[in-house]
Amino acid sequence: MKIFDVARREYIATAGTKGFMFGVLVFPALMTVLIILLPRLIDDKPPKYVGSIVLVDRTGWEGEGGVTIGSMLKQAYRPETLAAEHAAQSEGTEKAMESQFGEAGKAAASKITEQMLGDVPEIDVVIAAPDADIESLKDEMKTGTTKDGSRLALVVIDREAVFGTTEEPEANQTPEPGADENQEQEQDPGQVQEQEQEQDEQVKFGSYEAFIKPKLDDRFQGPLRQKVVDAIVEARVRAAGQDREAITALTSVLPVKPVEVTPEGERDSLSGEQNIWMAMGFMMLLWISVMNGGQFLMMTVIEEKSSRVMEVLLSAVSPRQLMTGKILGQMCVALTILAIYVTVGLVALNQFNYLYLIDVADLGLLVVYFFIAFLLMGTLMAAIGSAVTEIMEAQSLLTPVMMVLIIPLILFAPLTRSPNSVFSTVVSFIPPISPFAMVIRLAASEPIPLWQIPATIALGILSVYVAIWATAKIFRIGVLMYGKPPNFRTLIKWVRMA
Amino acid sequence: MSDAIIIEGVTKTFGEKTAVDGLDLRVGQGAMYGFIGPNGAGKTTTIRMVMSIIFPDSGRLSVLGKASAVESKDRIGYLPEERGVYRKMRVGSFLSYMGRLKGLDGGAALNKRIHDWLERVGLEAEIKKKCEELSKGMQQKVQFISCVLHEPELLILDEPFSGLDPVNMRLMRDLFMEQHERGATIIFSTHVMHQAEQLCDHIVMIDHGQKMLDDSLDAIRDRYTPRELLVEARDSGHDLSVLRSIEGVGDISSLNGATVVAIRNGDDPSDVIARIASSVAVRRIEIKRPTLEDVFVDVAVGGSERSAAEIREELRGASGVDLRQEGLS
Repeated sequence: MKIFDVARREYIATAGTKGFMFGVLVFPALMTVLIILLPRLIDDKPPKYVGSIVLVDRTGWEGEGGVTIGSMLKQAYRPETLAAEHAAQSEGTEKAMESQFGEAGKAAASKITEQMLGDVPEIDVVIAAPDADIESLKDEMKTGTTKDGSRLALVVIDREAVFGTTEEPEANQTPEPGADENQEQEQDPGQVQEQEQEQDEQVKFGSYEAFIKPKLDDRFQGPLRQKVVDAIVEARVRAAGQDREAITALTSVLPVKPVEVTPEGERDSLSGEQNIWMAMGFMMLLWISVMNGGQFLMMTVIEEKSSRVMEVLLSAVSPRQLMTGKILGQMCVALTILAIYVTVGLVALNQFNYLYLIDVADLGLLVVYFFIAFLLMGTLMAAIGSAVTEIMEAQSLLTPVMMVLIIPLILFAPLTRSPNSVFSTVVSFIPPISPFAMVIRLAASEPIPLWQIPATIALGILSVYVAIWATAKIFRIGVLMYGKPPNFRTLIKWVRMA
Repeated sequence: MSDAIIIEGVTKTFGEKTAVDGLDLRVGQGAMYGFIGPNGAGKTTTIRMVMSIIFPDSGRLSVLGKASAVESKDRIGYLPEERGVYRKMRVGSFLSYMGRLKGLDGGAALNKRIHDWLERVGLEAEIKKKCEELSKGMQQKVQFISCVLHEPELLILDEPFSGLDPVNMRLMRDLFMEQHERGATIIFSTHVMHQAEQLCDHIVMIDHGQKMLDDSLDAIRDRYTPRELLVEARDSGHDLSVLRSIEGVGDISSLNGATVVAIRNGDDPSDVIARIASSVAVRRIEIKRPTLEDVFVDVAVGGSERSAAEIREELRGASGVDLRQEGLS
């Protein structure tokens, strides 16, 4: 009964303070608000681009039926074309997400692409004369905004972008009649000089230059690049008398997804990314709750010692009762922290339709390993708290404990990479690291051999028993010991002594 | 009537130092026991062993009929020397917590009791305040309430007066007496002799972990028959050195304007008084009652190579402030 009174006070005194509220609750609260608000905020779609692109085509190429780079670009920027691309893009993402994550993935993808792509832009392609003054065209871009129909970009296609140049003029011969003129122009030595490379026997093609207004993001830049390149390639292919579709058919292979072969059967390979995030999440949950709870425990023990309330308490309860009550109370505090973070995590995953990643059994095991980790580290922290009088003095004793706690962070990468290696298995059986290693491995991709779960839990219980036994002894001596803080050797002596 | 506390041959060492050395003690029920001795004599160690906070290396303890205080903690009130409160806790909740730890049921009855007690010591307005907002004296009252809240049968007070002003000291003393009248056995330790003298009916004196004295206050006074007289001449300018020539008078010294006359061994004090009165015109002449301090010094001198003056100095050094307040209390 008294143990519960102690635990209750401990819980209220820790979890009921403003510091706790801020330290533990504000962070996840902020996260929750962000997670819930962010999609709403993104609902405010990015601005729609309205304006024109000026094209200066210096190649002079004109294909069958009067097709030019300019006309192809115009075609590519027709509203219908843009709308179709838009739809295809979001459909593609949806399909990819659906194949990986099912219906939920599709829904998430459509929402996300919708928000990412924004409205279909309205863009007019203006074709300027091949010899237009680039500088004055640039000046035209300096006024207006990206939404009011002003000049957004200037694209200048190099003279050699379609036909290219080689050492032998014959190589540039094309069946196009219009091309002959250009060819002649190109062979004007003064103009071609800089592009020519004597040693190169390959056809050397020119490129294009693009000038854009500031504050145009990738939603504008990406398609612009793509469309200009497409138009140039198309022109080159036609100029060479080839069939574009045939070339595309020849050069493309549909991408495939590797299939994992496991003893349980075949399945689509997960990218592994989610698993790493889950493992990281699980470990951090455990880490944060254990660290916080353990530190609170140490602090309250030190507070009771330094405020000299300890002996008053010991007149009513035995050191063992006091210690048990405090550990219980702080365990509830740590559980509260864990519950808050898990809830925030679940809300977040739900928000992004990732909830299926969580295995309920894994969550249950997380709680089991939490108890082991907390009782192990928490009691150690209580022992340290009982041995010192001031928080400052605790630092030197705390360093080794912190070092042990950092090991799982360092081991995170090797553990997720090969969760069932000999190394991972060995690490899972080193008491203070065991619960952390196990939660990482639980969330990692490969399933753990089943026997290891009860085995590590049994080991955990055993080590918790030893830790509590030792702490009880240190606690009993430590709580009334004032003055010079003991070192680890002294603590071990106390354990042996009592 | 059984004894509230029985200590038999209890020894406790801390490393090299023997804090308590083969102590035997019996405290009868309902007694008001004074535990005196200089700092470091072993008082707190003994009390902590009685409270089962530390355990003796050897010897036997019995508290309220049980083998250790662990089994009867709810019947004991303990005000340790190293005492404190939860700084961030409110006075009311602190007392309620301590009450529940002492086995009281929480709820309206406990709250009423806390309220009544706070009212008695004049702290009813502070019930909602945080403990850190109270002055040291106020905190001490709160601590005292926390150890009598459950109406203990045995009350152990370790240096209860340290740090109190005379007004609060008197208040505390009245509260102790009240507990005593209620029938509680009270043990209180102090290094300030006159406090024990004023309160206790039984004195235990400890020095260097050993019991030097264990008797009722009256018996102690009887045993240490007065060997000194206080003499004040009617005319303050009168030279009292003439007293030296009177038969039975030993050393003469002066104390606060009066003259202390030592009586030679073998002479009856009343004979000496008669002889002084007949030879000098005196305003006052009285037998100087031995104070506990005198007794202590007397006892301590017997057991050590230190001189009486050294021991007196040690005692006063340790308790200078409290001694000066003698006149006020």
